[in-house]
Amino acid sequence: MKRYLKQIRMRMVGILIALISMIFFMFISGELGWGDSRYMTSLMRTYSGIAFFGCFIYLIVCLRRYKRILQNQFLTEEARVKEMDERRRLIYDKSGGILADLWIVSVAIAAWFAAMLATTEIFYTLLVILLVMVCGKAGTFWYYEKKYE
Amino acid sequence: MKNHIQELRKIHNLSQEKLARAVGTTRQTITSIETGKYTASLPLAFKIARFFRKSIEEVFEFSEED
Repeated sequence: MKRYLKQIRMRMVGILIALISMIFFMFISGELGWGDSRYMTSLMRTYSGIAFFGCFIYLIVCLRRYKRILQNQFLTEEARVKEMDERRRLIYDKSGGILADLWIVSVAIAAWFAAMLATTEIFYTLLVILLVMVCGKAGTFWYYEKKYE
Repeated sequence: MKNHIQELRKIHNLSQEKLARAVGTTRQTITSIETGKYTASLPLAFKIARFFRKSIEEVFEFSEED
């Protein structure tokens, strides 16, 4: 239990660092003149907005959830059991595991940069790769979830 | 892999949820093990067997096909 609590605290620190970095980066990109809507297509604008603010909101939701988990021992135990559940971990690993997640996040960030720099060809290529990866991950997850249901 | 978890649960008048909590897993995992769709890991199999005060062989039936 103590190890899991430590893990949660570490994740919270990681989220806080990510949030601060995102705010800092927002100013930097503004200063550098990135995200110029005159050169961006509507899909690029939509993607960059959804990716940035979606990620920001998601991280805040995660932070609040972890805070709630830390405050309530029953919730901590419930979250720990759910997260450490071997069937769930097997399904997660079979659908790509942490490596697939890292790839998806990396491609999403690269696509965001491509959108902000208005490099159309790179952006559309990365967007297709990202969609294929997300669909592949979701599909395999759903398949194994049904298989081991 | 065949197992006798469902019968043992009924004997002990236990719900899947209660068994899951006792062995530190989720209800869905217990359901999957009972229906034979998922094979429990060795540590979980030991936990389940110990919970019912039985040996692993009494709870899980191993056949060469598995």
